[in-house]
Amino acid sequence: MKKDFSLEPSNMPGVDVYIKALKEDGTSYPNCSNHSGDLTLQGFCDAANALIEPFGKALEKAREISSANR
Amino acid sequence: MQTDDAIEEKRVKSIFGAFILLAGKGYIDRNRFTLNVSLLKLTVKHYSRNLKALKIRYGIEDNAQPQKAAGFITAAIMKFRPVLPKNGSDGNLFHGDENEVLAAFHGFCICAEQIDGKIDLPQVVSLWSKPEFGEWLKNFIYLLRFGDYTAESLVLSFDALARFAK
Repeated sequence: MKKDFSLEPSNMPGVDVYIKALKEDGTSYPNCSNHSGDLTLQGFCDAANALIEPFGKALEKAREISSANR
Repeated sequence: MQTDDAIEEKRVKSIFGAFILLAGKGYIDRNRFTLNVSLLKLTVKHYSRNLKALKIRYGIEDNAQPQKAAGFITAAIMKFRPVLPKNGSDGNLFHGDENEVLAAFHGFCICAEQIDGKIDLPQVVSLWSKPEFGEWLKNFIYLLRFGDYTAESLVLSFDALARFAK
């Protein structure tokens, strides 16, 4: 780069390559898949009612282990 | 696709539902703890905005996967800690895990919702009933309380459980 180079918006040699890549389709940020349905409150309640017992037993064990580690 | 208002209302109800179920079974002492209205609102609003940002970032045009919702709402609950002690002078909070328990249980229930048969609820229950889950849950609660993590890294924890339950 010449010693008397001064950066300006209009004076950025080589930037065109990057702008061209930015505007190109198919080379953009990766996408994630969508979920097929809506999560519902009924579904949540059904899951919660089914899981509370095994979760509760695991939690009691977890709290026992934590207490023993203190 | 659901509106932001519908998503936020659903999450207020699901967090509240998880809280009263946990309290009803004695896992959160309702005599000592309450679910604060304003902190719950902050939690859900923060989650809603983060979810929108996530959808934009990853080009998710419709609904996000349950494990993404679970990871982000768990992080929001941990950020704002809506379960508060009723007594501000309660000196026995050092070993408390009420917010972590609420966040974990709520997140797992979101992941277990049966949509198009992709999550086998009996399989999830069976997985949760394994004796190793107590140790795993202890470590997960410890991570939520004391560890460093991002919302997206929590998504992976829920994602693993959701995949094993298929």
